Parts: sequence; C-alpha cells; structure tokens
Amino acid sequence: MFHYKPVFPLLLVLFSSNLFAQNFSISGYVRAAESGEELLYANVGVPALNVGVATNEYGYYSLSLPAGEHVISFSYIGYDTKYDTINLSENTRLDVELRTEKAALATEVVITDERTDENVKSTEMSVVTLDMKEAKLVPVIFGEQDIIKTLQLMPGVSPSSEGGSGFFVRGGDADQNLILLDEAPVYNASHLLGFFSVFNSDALKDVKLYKGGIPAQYGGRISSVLDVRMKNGNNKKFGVTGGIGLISSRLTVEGPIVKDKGSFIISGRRTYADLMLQLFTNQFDGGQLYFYDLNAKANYNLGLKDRLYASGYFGRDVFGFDGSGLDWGNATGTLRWNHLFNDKLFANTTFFYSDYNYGFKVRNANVSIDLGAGIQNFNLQQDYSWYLTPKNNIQFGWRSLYHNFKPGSFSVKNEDGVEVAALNLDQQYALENAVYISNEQKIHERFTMNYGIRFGSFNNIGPYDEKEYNEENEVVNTIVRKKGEFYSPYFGVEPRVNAVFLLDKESSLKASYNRTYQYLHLLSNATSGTPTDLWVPSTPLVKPEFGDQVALGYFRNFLDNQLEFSVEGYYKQLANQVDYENGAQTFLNADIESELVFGKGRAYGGEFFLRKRKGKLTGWVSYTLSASKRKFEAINNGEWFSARQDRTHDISVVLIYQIHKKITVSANWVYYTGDAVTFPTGKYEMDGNTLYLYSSRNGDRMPDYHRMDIGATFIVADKKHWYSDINLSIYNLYNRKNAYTITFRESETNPGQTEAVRLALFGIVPSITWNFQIR
Amino acid sequence: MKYINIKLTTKILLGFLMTFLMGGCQDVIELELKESERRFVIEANLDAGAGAIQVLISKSGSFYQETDFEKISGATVLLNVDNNLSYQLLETQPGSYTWDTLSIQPGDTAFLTVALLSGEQFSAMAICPMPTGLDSLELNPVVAPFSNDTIYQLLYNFQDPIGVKSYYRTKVRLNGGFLDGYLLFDDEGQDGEYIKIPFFGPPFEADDTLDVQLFAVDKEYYDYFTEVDDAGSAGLGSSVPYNPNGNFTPEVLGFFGIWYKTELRIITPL
Repeated sequence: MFHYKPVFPLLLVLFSSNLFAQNFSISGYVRAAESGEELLYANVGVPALNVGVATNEYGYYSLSLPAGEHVISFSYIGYDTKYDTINLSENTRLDVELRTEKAALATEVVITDERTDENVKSTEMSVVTLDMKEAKLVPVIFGEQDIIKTLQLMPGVSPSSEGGSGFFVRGGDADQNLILLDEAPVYNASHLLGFFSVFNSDALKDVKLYKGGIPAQYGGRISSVLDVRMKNGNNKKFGVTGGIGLISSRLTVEGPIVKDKGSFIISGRRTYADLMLQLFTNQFDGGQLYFYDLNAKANYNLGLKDRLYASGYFGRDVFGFDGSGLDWGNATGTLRWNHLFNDKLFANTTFFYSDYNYGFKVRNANVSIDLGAGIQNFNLQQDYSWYLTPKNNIQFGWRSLYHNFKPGSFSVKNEDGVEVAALNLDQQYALENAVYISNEQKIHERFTMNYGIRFGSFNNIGPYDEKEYNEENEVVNTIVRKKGEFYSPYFGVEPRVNAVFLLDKESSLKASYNRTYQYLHLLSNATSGTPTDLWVPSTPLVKPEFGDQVALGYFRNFLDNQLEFSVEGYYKQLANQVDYENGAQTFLNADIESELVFGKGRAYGGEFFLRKRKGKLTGWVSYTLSASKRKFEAINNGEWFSARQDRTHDISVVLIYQIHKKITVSANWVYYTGDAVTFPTGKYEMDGNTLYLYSSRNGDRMPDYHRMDIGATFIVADKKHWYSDINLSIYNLYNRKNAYTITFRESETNPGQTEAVRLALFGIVPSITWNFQIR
Repeated sequence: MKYINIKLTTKILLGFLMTFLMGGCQDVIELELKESERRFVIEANLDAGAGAIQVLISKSGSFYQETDFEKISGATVLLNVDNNLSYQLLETQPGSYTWDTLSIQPGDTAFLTVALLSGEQFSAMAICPMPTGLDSLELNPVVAPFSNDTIYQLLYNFQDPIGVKSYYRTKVRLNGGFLDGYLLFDDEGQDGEYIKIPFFGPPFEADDTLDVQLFAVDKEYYDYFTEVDDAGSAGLGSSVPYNPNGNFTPEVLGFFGIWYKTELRIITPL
C-alpha cells in the first residue's frame, strides 16, 4: 500500500474566463492527401491569436475560437503547411488534407512547415519522435530498417546489446519500457534473439518514445513508453510496397475498402537465415532459423462521428533442428471505436488482446520433452479528449487489464507417447485498473502546463495457493485463494506534471515530474535477455515497482528553426526492484518468489541533443552523460553497484546528405562506455576444475563500444505508379571488434593457464536491399 | 525432477544460434583484471561407502597464474560423526588431509572443523545420504543433429529410495579422461521410482569406453554444485557470475559433502 499526499491543486484551475466567452468550435481530422491516413500530432493553429492544438492519436482536433474570420494553419512534418481562412459563426467541421512537400522526393528529408519550433513551445519534454522517412535512411545492420535501432541513436536511449533491438531508457531496465503497438502491449519486441525488432517499418505510421514526462494516459512501466501506431492503409487507392534483402523480405498491400470511407493494410515479413546458412554450411541441414510476422489492419467510417478499427499483429520465431528447438512469439489484436460525442468531446474505446509465449521441445527416439510459458492479457479502455476551451485540453479515461500469467509447464513422454512426467505450475491471474485525468492549460502567453493524475490498482485473483516462506526458502504456510477471489490489492497514485516557460520565440525552459507504477516484473538472471525470461505479477511478496523522475530542460532553436538544440537533466529513483538471489532455480520453479531479492535503484544524467532538420544535410548529434545504480541487501554486501546499462558516456552522430535528387548517403557513428560487468579477480581449484573468484557485482567494464556505419540510397525509378530504390549499407565500417561477451577459459595451448576470450559478433557487414512501391 | 540441465540445453541451442547466425569471431585478448586478496579454499569430500574422507585446503590465486595454488599445511582437521565418533585427519600430502577407516551410516550427521595455523577456524555440517547405486547402463543410438552420424545417448538406470528426498550427481570418464559435463538432479516428481535418466554428453562414438559414476549426494553437496554450475556458466543466457556459497561457517570458498558412489563400465558398439 502506498501513501501519497497530493501536492498540487489538480484540475481545479480549469475554468478560466475563456470558458464563458462567445466561442465556436472548429474541428475535424487532418489527413495525408495521397493516402487518406490521419496525421497524428499535426499542428493546428491560429497564428494571429497565438493559439493552437495538436491532433490526437487518431488525427482529430478541435479548437474553440471567437466568432469571426480566422486564418488557420495546418502543419505536419514533411508536408506542406496549409492555410484556410474561415468565417466562424457556428460550430464548424473542417477536415483537412495535407500534401507532401512538392519538392520532397520519397527519400528526401526536407521540412518546411511553419511550426518546427514545436519542440520549443510544446510542454512535452524527454520525448523522441521519429520521422519514418528519416528512419529509413539511417544505415542499420543487415539493411533491415528498424525503428528501435534508430531510437537507440537518440539521447538517453541505448541498445541492450550489439545489434540488438532491446533498449534501455535513462538507466532503466529493458522490462521497464512499455511497448505498445496500436495500444496493445508487446512483451518481447525482439526477433532472432534481439537482432530484429518486431516492428515492420512498412506498416508503421507513427513512433513516439516518452523517456520522461509520461502523460497520465500511460502507465504500467516505470522507465518509458514506446507508443507505436500502425498505418490505417490508403483509403484512396490500392498500393503495394515491398523489399527484398539479404536476410529477409517484406510485402505490404493496402487499399480502400470503400474509397474515402474505409481501408485496409496487410504487411508481412519473413527472414530466411536458415536458407542462407544451408547455402554456406551443410552442418545446418535440417535446421530451422527464421521469424515471420504479419501486421493487418482495417478501418471503416460509420459516418462523421464514428469510426471502427481492427488491427492485429502476429509474429513468431522458430529455431531448431530435427524437431527439437525453441520457438516464441507475440500476438496482439486491437478493436477500436472512435466516437465524437460533439465537436469538443472525442472518445475512443479500445479492446485488445495480447499474448506472448515461448516453447521449448526436445525430440528423439526415446523421449519427447515439451516446455512452455507465457503471458496473456485482455484489456478494455476508454480515452477521451475534451477540447474544453482554447486554453484547456483535457484528457481522461479508464482502463481495465486482465492478466493471465503462465509460469511454466513441462511434459515428458516416452517412446510410446505415454506421459511419464509432467509439471504444470499454477497459472496466476490479476486485474490492473486505472483512471486518469490530465489537462494541458495555457496559463500565460509564455507559460503552459500539462498536469494530471492517474490512480492505479492491481489485484491478484484466485484460484492460487499463496505461499509464505522462511529464510531457508521453505514453505511455512499456504493460503488457498478460491476461484475469483481478489487478494493482495495494491494502489498507486501517479502525479504527472509537465511545464514549459517560453524565454523568447526560440527558446524555452521545461520541467517535468512523474511517478509511475509497474505491477509486472520480468525475471531474468542472465547477463543478456533471452526469450525464456519470465514475466510475473506483483504478489503479497513481490511489491510493485515504482519510480519518480524529475527532469529539467533548456530548448533552443537556431537559424530559423533549422537547428534544434536541447539539454536535459534528469534524476530518477526506482523502488522495489527485483532480482534473483545467487543460484536461483529460475525455470519451472513453483517457489520462484522465495528466490527473489528486492532493492532500489537510481539513475541520473544529462542529455545534449543537436539536430538539423532542414536542407540537404540533416541529422543529429547526441551525447548522454549518465549513471545508473542499484542497491540490494543481498548483493554486493548491500553496497550500491552499477546496473549493467550504466554507460557513463553515450554518443551518437547521424548524418544524412542528399547528393542528388536520386542519391542520398548517410553515416552514423556511435560510442558508449562498456557495460558494467563482473569479471574474475582470481581463481581456485575445486573438484578438479578451475573456478573463478569474483569480488564485487558489476565492478568491471567491458571495453568501450564504438562503430561506424554508412549507407546510400539510389532511386532507380520514381514514376507515377512505380517507385523503386536500392539501399546499400555497410555496418561496422572500420571492422571494430566490439566485444559481445568476454568469457574466461583454460588455455588450449597452455593448459593450466587461463585466458580471456572475446566474442565479437559482427565484423564488416555489407547489405543490399531493393525496395519497391506500386502506387 | 527439478533439474535436468534444461538451462544447459537452452544455452547450447542459443550458442548454436549465435555461432551459425553470426559466424561470430572469437579471439583471446589481453584484459587487465583487478586482483582480489587470496582466499582460503576447502574442498571436503566424504565417501561414505569407502569410509574415507579427503579435505583439501589451499588458497586462491591470481587469474593469470598457473594452477599451482598455495597449499595450506599444518591445519588441524577434525571430523565428528553423529556426536559419537571423532577423527583427526592426517596431512598425507601438503594441504591434503585424509582418513580412510571411518564409519558412517545413512542419516548420520557429520561435523567437520578446520583450524588453520594462522588462527582461522571453519566448520561445516552434512548429513549422510541413502546409498543409492547404479543398477545398469544403456546406450541408445540416435541420429546427431546437423549430421546423419549415429551417436549414442547414455542412460543411467537406478532405483530411487522412497520417502527420502534424494540428490544425485554423475561423472563420466570417456576413454580414461573425465568429461566436463555432468548431471545434477533431484528426485522431485519421481520419488521412489525406477529412474532412467539420459546423459547427452559429447557424441559417443563406436568402441568408446565409458566409466560411468553415479553419486548419491547430500543436500549441501547438491546445493553447492548447483551454484557452481550456475555461476560458472558463460556467454549468452548465462547468469551474473558470483562465488558459489558452500556450507562452511564462517563463509569460505568450498564445501563439505557426503556421498555414495557406484561405477559401471559400458563400451559403445563397434
């Protein structure tokens, strides 16, 4: 149970005099002219009155204005700004379509909208947004475009491992990132043990990562929120997009169901690493190594006020040989209903289902072994956008999320198919609820706040045998929870505040504070995550994690918004962190809770970011100076120690240059301090073998990591109905042997001597991908 | 069965994945390592079937040194069995203390105390397990993954005693040399049953001579080697390294364990 004293007069200051002025609303959707796709977070403003609003997650906006004539601007990155003059004498619906910039080619990154100072003026801070076009130009390993790899180049975000799609945000752990795909959580966002993310760029419309200042509508993880939205599909004409690469291929088909009323998109991807391996070695005959994923979405307008969406993701990894192996994957499904109660009140109702599971099987002539575990969710939620006054935009909603944890099952069958051993750990059930409300209020010409609060609760649900343990990890008491019985309730109060103070037209100061609760925990005793890591709920023994973060930032644009600069400092504390005790039996352990230890964490740092978004040369430089520490009574004698992701320095430089209207080149360079790890500090002999002696947890460092990649995109054809390009890239240009792992062993050439062995995964990796579009 | 090296199998699979997918390059590097102070190491094995105990006392060394660890001589090593019989072990070689005519029965409690000349004293307790022995061995031909070669899977057959929590460890000598791999498991879910447990060693080939040992071990021994296995793993999916914690008080590197051993030989077909 947690106690919190409200410290600010939340939502009581809404009703400014504007509420009672003679205003009319102008509202509608902002869409892309070519595809009919709604544009999320597009800016709608009245420059003369210095008021504006951003479209919501569904592209809807509403603005209250005094009666009379107004010039309204609609702008969005990569699109021509549109101005409409409107004489407002009643509430007016105005749907707007924006065209991509006339000068812009498919691969060009030129931004000419009027509101590129949004990074300075918005209350949002600690937010990373990706321009999907830009992301496609950044060179990545195997040429497989990946939003997560691009996010990892941003300040405060770093990869969990070489080439991996896991990520750490501001010193948090990888499981403390809430990853949403069309609002449904994705529990393992990695394919092929992390070398690809589950996100197929062709199917994505918008990507937004909140590193701090997390809006009240999001909850459930304490480090960050990655909100990924799929495209709706072109509702004007059919199109096909695809690509063929060395290791994978993808194909996307989209088009109208009924023109301008509804559309669909289906996007699939499949790797063929196993086929490639079989070409190079006969040792892999009979082996399987691939992943596939499928995104599908459809939407339909039921009139001006209602719209339905159905979307889904299904992806699976398979690795094995001769019937034995591992497979794991996610499935999500989302149904949404947008409804306009009136011009100012937009509602979205979402139901989603999410499932992550993995299986492990061994097959031979004598025995057949099957293992499995996973997590499943059902969720219902409503989110409202209430455009109350020009100076107050309110968001509120609720959600109810049902969890089903499947900690593991195990079955052994003999050669006759008769089960000779089986173990099914009890499933666990839980209900997570939340209500929230927030308001973005323009308090003064120069001062805007977004403040809100979220109330969350978490209950375990029977049936379950709740156990109590002694210090020897032995069960001393069992409480039988009946089916449907709610027990072990937790409540969390989560205040969220963001504020911006404009120093002048080009610079601002921002501050934010947020508290977040996390009721699920990913148990991993491994140095790097594996598909078999286990999600478990909070229980009477395992308290919810929670975190507090404060951040301060200075934002400044230069050269008519061509250059964006920001510096942010943050400090966060993490409570009820979970780890395994040494020697814990991690799999198929009914008493896993008895093998957990609990501690706390803290992380702090500064982030410097300089970005150029206009002209032939674009890109950014990011530098993060940070620390991330943990403290567990049972580890390291209770002393603070570095979290693995405690990377003191983290630098990324990304440059994209358009040489010619058909040729764009790019390069990036990354550097970060090596991970905090535990290396031996001696050795001794035991049972005829040499064992290594360790001193402090994570008291050593991997060698520093750095790497340069280059890429080039050549447009082969760019016609009305046909587009194609070739993307070449070289990963790790100067062949840096970055250590993926360092292990220790007895020397093969000099028995008795021990030596350190570095595994460097990737040398120079050239890639070529052909992309095409039928439009 | 609580532990059948699922983790090891997972690691092998993941290792294959890394190797095949990435063609990752491994090389020996010069890595500067911190050096911790030397610590005492005590390895105490009581072979209940033979009535013999050996206690090895040494000190840890630096990472890059040879395995010529410092032996600790002059210690006083006392064994007390069931509060009844006491033995003062003899230092038969530097750092090696033994006694080979002791008497101990299943269920007996044994206390070991080690007093060093330098003044430190350590003690540990263990309970003698049931004398479960190997009944027979089997070899099953199976087709090797990634090739069509026939290799052999070794099966241990033995009767687990009913009503007693039992722990086991295996060792295999292949053509005279001990293999690194071993099984460590308990009888959870198979109490009192006739157990047939497979050992996936390196591919056993035709005419290999396998000397196969089954150790019925006490819980302390099992717990210690569970940690050794966990802490000593390396690479992808491995745990954060730590020093295995045995049953000595105050804490010292090493353990005191009691076990019964049986050994059978089997030769793979030509």
